[in-house]
Amino acid sequence: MTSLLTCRNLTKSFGAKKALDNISLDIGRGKIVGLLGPNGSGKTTFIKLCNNLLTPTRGELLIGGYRPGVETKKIVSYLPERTYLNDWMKVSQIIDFFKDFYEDFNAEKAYDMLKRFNIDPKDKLKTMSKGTKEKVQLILVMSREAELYMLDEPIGGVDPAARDFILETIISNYNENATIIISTHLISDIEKVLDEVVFIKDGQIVLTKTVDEIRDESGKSVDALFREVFKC
Amino acid sequence: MLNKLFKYEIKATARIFIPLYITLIIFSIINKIFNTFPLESGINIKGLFGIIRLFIYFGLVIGIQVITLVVQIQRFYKSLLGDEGYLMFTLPVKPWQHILSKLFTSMIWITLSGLSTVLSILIIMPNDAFIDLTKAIPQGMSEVSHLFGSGTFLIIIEAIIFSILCMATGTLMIYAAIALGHLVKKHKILASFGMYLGLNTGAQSIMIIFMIVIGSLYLKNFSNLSIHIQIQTFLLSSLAYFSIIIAGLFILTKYILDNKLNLE
Repeated sequence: MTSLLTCRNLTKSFGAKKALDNISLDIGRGKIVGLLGPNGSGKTTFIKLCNNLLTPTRGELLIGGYRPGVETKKIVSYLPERTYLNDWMKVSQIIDFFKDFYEDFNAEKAYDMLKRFNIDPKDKLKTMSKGTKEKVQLILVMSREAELYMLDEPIGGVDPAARDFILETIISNYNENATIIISTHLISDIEKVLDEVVFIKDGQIVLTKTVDEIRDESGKSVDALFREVFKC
Repeated sequence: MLNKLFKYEIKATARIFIPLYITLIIFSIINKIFNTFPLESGINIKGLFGIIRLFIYFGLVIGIQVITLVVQIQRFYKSLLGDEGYLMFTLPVKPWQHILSKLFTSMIWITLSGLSTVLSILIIMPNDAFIDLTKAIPQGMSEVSHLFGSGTFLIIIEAIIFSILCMATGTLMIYAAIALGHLVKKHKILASFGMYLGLNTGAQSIMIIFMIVIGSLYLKNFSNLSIHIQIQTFLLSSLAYFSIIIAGLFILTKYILDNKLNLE
């Protein structure tokens, strides 16, 4: 099977500090992968490298056979850990913006999700609360029919009640061939949707396993294993 | 993709500039009306009104120029290197397309800000001065065409290109300075100012070298040349100079956004 995302000896340094240290990883198609690690372990750095927002110090990174660039941006749908919405558009305008730039954007799907989240498309982005902005971003990202979704802390900013709803939105909006990479430290909340996990610590990958393997081998939940591996 | 970026860049900025221009023009018309039909009440109130109007008018004119500069800086810094950059740089477009869309938009607003100010002056001008001007312009034009003969059209075209390249140089120098400042870890804004000073000094040094080279080629008989040739020499060498600076600044900015982008 050809993998969707491959990296070999990927390293990213900020000055003397190595945020990612010699990472090699293969991620296939049709999976939900949890990128799990404590704060500052290199999750966001990895995702930013995949989205061409950072340039690697060393090593190789391929998505769908391409180095991060215009071709990968067409197939990767990225949810950053911060708000990237501008302050002058309405929701309907940012939907038009996405439709204009991404060929795989499905506006119908976006309006449908807005309705379910009770967000008025005529609302201005500027006046929205942080939580609502995050929901709008998630809707925009999940309304693309992308090959790879990279979600950086998608449930970090919302209340626990909304988390399940968001997770359901994520799972119900991707097709069988697409892969989702979710980075988070809220493991127990997303554990039930994951197929595979990648544990990352101090810029290094400490474990890659399927969730089934973890349960069969250790009889533990991902959350319990995480607590064991990352014990302070 | 470039035209789409351009479309959104215009949209993002028009909402700032169009109301400003309209305010300026309306205010100029109001001023004109007040000047043509002076209030007949007490001198003090009239005088006070006049001073306030004058202050607001100059405030608007200067404000428009300042806002043009601020928006120029902000649209590059905030929308590419701030949080919005997370969206802009994950669009399937190349960084040079971002630079060009912002550059073209910026140049349009610089032009329109200048033109709206000129228009407001024409409106506010006393009627007799306006009539003088309508006579002076054709007169000036005929003198120019008398001087340059068949070359007039060419000179005008070159002068227009000259102003366009001037605007492009100014804008790209700001972009390059911000991009360079972004490479510095701390105090990015301060660093950008420093970079701007550095780039400006660099550009001026190149200009001096340029003048020395051109001067040594032509200096001996420059004053013997016709004014037409003198102006042509000046314009063409300036065009060459600006083209070199523009290319350098563009390549520098593109290189940084292509290879050194580090959004934090």
